[in-house]
Amino acid sequence: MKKLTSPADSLVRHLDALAQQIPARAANRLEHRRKQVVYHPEAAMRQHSSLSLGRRWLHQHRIMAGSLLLALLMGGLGAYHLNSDRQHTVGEVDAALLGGDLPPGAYTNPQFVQWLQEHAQQ
Amino acid sequence: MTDPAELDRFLAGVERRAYLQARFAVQDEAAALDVVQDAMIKLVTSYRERPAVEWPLLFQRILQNTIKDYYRRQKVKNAWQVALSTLGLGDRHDGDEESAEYDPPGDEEDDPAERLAQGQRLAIVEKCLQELPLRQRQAFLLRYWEGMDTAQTAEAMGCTEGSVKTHCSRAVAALGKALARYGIEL
Repeated sequence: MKKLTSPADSLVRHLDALAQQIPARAANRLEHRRKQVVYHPEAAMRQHSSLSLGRRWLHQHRIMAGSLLLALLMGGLGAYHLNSDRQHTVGEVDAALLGGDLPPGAYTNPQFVQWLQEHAQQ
Repeated sequence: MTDPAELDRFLAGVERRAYLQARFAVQDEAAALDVVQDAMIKLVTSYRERPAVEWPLLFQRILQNTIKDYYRRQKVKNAWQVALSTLGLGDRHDGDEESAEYDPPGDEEDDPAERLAQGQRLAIVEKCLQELPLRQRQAFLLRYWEGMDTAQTAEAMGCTEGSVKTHCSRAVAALGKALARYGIEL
């Protein structure tokens, strides 16, 4: 077990060591970007903002695609709900037709329809 | 007119610490580099003509705000990713998942066992710092690592001095507890 000397000082020493040991690749990139920012700020800004714009574009389109899909899903759910309602109604009518006293063929007989209309008026 | 070399020296002196602060916060090497570059650009474009003595505090303030902005953007992005993955469209994190391994220490460390132990201690310290809540970590790093006083830390963080003290004491307590789990006592 390693005992450190004083809380903040020990941690600061560790942090300083960490700062000295960041990966060489990251250190090189940091240096490159710093030089660019200091000596060619316009170019650095253009590059950085175009990168940010690219990311924002991607992000916005991802949002648009998500919104579109959400709308499609909602529409699909609505259509499914309507269709299932319709199927339920058709099922009820079929059940009433098959379970009724009259044969289903009676409803296609024009005379029966006429008889129904006359009796409905009475 | 500010001498670019002076600005370069200043940024060279703070960039590694800034990078680590950003990496602790965003936990991604590429994103941390972007955050630091963003902060550098803002300092150079908006404050380069200010007296050099003001740069450290200005830079820290910009850096902390840039990290906060990153968090805000991530929050929105994560919300959408959750929504999209619920629909079966979520894309996996595409950032180059570069490991946060450290370069081996320099030749001055002769004892391989000591070198290994030192590397492990540093990894543990970094892990414990990353586990701290954002505000506690910010307060701790600015106050103790950047050597700012309470008022400067409060200004950089955009909060009261009382909050800084609270965040710092909680951070030290949490770090002590976390490090103790790994056998490192403060």
